[in-house]
Amino acid sequence: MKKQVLAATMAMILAASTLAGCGGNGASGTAATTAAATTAATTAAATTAAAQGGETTPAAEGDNIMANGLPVDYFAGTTLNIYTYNESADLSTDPSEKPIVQMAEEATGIHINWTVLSSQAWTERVNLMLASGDMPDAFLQNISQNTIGANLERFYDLSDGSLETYAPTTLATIQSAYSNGIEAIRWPDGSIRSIPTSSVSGNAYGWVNWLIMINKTWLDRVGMDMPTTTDELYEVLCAFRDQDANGNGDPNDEIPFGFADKDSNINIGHTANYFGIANSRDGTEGRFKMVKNGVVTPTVDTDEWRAWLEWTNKLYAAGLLDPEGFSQTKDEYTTKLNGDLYGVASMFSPAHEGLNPDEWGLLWVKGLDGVEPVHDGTSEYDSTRKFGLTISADCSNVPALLHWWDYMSSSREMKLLSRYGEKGLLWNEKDGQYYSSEDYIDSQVMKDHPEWTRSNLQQTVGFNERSVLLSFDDLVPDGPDGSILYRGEFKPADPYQSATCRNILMNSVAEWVQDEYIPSGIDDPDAVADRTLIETDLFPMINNFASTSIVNGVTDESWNAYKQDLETYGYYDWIEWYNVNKMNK
Amino acid sequence: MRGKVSAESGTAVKTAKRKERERAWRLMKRNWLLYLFLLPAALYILIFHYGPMYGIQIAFRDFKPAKGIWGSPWVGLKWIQTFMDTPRFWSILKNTIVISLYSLISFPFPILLALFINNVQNMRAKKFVQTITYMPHFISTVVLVGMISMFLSPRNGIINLLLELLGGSRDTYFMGSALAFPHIYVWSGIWKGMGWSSIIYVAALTGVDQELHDAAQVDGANKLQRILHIDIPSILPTVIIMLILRLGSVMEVGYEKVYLMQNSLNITTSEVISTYVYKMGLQNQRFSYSAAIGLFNNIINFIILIIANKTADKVSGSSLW
Amino acid sequence: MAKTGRTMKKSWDNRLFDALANTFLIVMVVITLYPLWFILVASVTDYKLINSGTLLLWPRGFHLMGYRRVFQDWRIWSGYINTIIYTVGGTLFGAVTTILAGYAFSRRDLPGSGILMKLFIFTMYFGGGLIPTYLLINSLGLVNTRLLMILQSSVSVHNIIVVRSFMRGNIPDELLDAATIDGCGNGTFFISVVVPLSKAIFAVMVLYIAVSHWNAYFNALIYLTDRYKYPLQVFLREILLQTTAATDLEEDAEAMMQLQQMTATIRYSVIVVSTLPILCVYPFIQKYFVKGVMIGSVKG
Repeated sequence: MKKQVLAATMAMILAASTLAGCGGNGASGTAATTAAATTAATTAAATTAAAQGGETTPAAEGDNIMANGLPVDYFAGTTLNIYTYNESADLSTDPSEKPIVQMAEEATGIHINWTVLSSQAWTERVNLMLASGDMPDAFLQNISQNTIGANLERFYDLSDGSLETYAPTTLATIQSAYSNGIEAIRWPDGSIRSIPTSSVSGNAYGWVNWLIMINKTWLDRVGMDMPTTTDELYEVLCAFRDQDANGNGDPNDEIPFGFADKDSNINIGHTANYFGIANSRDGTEGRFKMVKNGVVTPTVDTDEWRAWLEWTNKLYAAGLLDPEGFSQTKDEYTTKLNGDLYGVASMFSPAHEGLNPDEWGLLWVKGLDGVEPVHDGTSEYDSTRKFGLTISADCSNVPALLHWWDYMSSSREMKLLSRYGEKGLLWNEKDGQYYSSEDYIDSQVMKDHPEWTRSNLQQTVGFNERSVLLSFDDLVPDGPDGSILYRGEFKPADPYQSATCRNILMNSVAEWVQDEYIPSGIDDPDAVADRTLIETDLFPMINNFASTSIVNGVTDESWNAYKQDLETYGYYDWIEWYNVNKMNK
Repeated sequence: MRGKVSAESGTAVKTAKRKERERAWRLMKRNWLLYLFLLPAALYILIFHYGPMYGIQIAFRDFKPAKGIWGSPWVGLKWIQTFMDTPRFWSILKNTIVISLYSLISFPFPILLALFINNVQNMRAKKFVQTITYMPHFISTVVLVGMISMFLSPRNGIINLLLELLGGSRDTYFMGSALAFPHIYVWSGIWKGMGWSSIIYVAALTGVDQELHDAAQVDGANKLQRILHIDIPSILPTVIIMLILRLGSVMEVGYEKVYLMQNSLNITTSEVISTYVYKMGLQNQRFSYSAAIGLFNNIINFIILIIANKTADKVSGSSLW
Repeated sequence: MAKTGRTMKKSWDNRLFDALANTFLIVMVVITLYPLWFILVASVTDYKLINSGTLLLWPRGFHLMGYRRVFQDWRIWSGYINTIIYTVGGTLFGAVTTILAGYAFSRRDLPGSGILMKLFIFTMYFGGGLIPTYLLINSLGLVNTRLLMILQSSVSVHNIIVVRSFMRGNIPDELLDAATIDGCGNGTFFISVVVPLSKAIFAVMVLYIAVSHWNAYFNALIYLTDRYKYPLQVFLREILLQTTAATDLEEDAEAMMQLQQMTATIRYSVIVVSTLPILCVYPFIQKYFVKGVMIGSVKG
């Protein structure tokens, strides 16, 4: 068997090099990709044809040959062990219940033994397996970059040509999904230890943080206009505080400004945006720094930052901020928001919080002359899971595993089936094009399970984040003007519906989001270890200074002591780390 | 006397030693069944505790799971050094000690509760009080912290409302106060653990000789006197052992509750060794670093235990070994 | 003897003492009862009202959504069964081992027991950590077995010490001496004297070990792979902690929101569901806490 595989591999490599010239320089690499993509397209056509013909096996037509040149059932009879955990809304007991998995098993004859662990102990379990050497053939769930980096040798290195040989369509999707192609998942030592899952972000303008919104009904009640500067905002908040802005007869229960500092989305730090500082508090990669002209620069030692602290202190001293904001949980925050107690609050979108989108307007004010406000977020958001599928170094049959995976990404339909489940639920066809759809509402599945939400459906019938990778072109778009396909017609966008409401708002915020961002990529594990060591002490210090300043005010003395602390805690080394490891690549 | 013996010729010492050995041997033969009693526990400890004991060295290596414990490189005391070099080391150590020592005041409460429960004559009332007070033990930490924050809310928390009734202000922000943190932590802990911890003392009180009570009553001793002179002395060995054990775990501040109560305002008093280890180890995957800090913590605890045990042995005669 | 107490005239100092002691107890009961009542009420109250901060005395927006959500899950039942198996098995094994060892350690005439005790105590502070423990258990072939769930964490040195000190305090040496003179062996003495005199500590150990098994989840998460073997607490935590697994991705935001609302609602019902059964054990234990074991009469 092994010899056969080897022979097939050699043949494939030969064929590929004849087709595309010798691999190695960038141009021919692209050619190879295009070739692979063409093959994929052919298979896609076959799949569509087969699907329309009512066949169950997608590659029924032709010679049953996949893009990798092997018959679909070449590895029939192979059994592989895969460890995974289910996503939170996935109600299936194990992935073998998913249509894509059943289809892949039927066609390829490869059987997967699933072990579904609890998400609570995933990290520990992976570490224990790494330590004991008792590894499954593969893990189908994200493993952190830190974990992989510390144990590189335990993961199969796919840079040995196996992707090209056995998973050409997967490779082609990776190439088209990332701006830097396969390099996006290459480790500093040149190896490739994972296959990404999920899809790129469907939004061309990238990722935008939660939005700070103001209650327009409250504004009307206190008879004031939408504020445009932080000073005007202060006046408005004072009016909210003093009057019965929510109209319930009690002038004292209003909380002008709501926030929950322990949650990265709704902490007070986002108001620093008004002072030209993005990413001022906890978040993901963004916090405590900004990219300006290609250089990562400090933010939390600037005059703008101090001006912001002084302004928020003014709000706090005047009793305009939620008095529990620094300690409350998101639950408590949400309750107050729903109880009409907040005049200004951060949210994903009003509709998302169950609020009336007509009642809430974006709050966008300017804090300083000559400093343009900037919104938290990045203009590129990579929503794929780069480490979604990892293959163990002692996997019993890497070619079979790649073959199986490539089968599931052999066409756009298969990819969609993998991510969202069958056609006719969350995606459907109209005039030869695919669109996202609400046809699931009438489906038998939903009739059988009336308690399911849309997310339950997507995560149960589809693989959702664990699906094969989808590039931007693979995604199913909305219909014209954000409409959704329903019963064969385009249903106009509904601003009261969560996703649409969010889209409208994001469109209006997009222009304020920074164009520059720190590129995502895989870093040297030792360098990351150095950085996290700094962060464990640095972040609490900065956060503590900010919060104490908001409560007690900033004095020259405290400010100078704090700047001294920034030095001692390694803030500038930390900034430098990003310039060295991220920007100079 | 002992000096005299040692001054004597070696043969006398030898004879004494031999006699001692013979006595031990006789006892061992007679009490063979007791060794059998110890066997299951000893096997358990041997397998489940001494079996993996070699893992202690993780603290002195740069452990990577894939390399294995024996394959990871030695780094000596690097991690302890790194910990001591962090800018927050002294503040974290101080916070841990403050909370640890403060927590010790929780020790007498369960004893008091047990004595008072013991004093209740009505059987039903007794059982009721016992059952109610032990229930908080079952409340999960997440819910406990949620309730604390709710009751202490500066907007309408019940505690602030009570303070207002007593003439104080009603907007004290307890949860956001670095000064209040140790108090909230310790007193909520007393609330949660008091009933549960009292069970052992209630059990110990069942062994108090009732005849002593009756006799004392005839002699005209009142309840307080009887508690002081009969109840407390009879549960004293238990109390002392519990105290030694408590002192020996004094530096153990559970991370979960502290972590949930932490926020950016109180972090200056609420960052303790266990939360730091948690953040280091779990969030950053640094096994060796967190193992080293954990070991550092346990060595301190162990030393305290030895001192406490010695002291107790001298003062009261009860000790762990 | 209780009767003699009651017939005696109550003096003012005893009354004062009773008043103080009972006030203390009443205060304790009140400050404990309200939060417990709160949990019960919150488990059937609309989640939006729970966190609003207003004093919750009676259920508002009454519903049983939390309970329905918990009980509609098939896993809850298999979880209950598993938990009962692990608790009963673990308590039997743990309590017997602890009592036997505790008694043996309580004897002062057992050469070598001092060293053994020190070796035991050492493990309270020093251990190999999770990874070597896992490797060991893996090599013993105990991973993913119910036996491991019963064995692990059943024996604790802390409990052995507690039993030992209780026995030293409650079983006078004179009893043993008398029995020895009568020609009574260790076995007979243990069965006929120690066991009857130690019912209270037996009860405490059963309670301690049973509760710790009932609440345990970590070992199950680490050592079990088969979901049908999971104990109740793992499922409850899974239902509760679902939000943490959800991502920040836009598409999942809706799911997160729903989960979060659900979490807020079921948080309290989960406590009720998971603790009620173990709470019922307590009254059975309590009856061993009554006085009346007449050590004195044996002594005499």
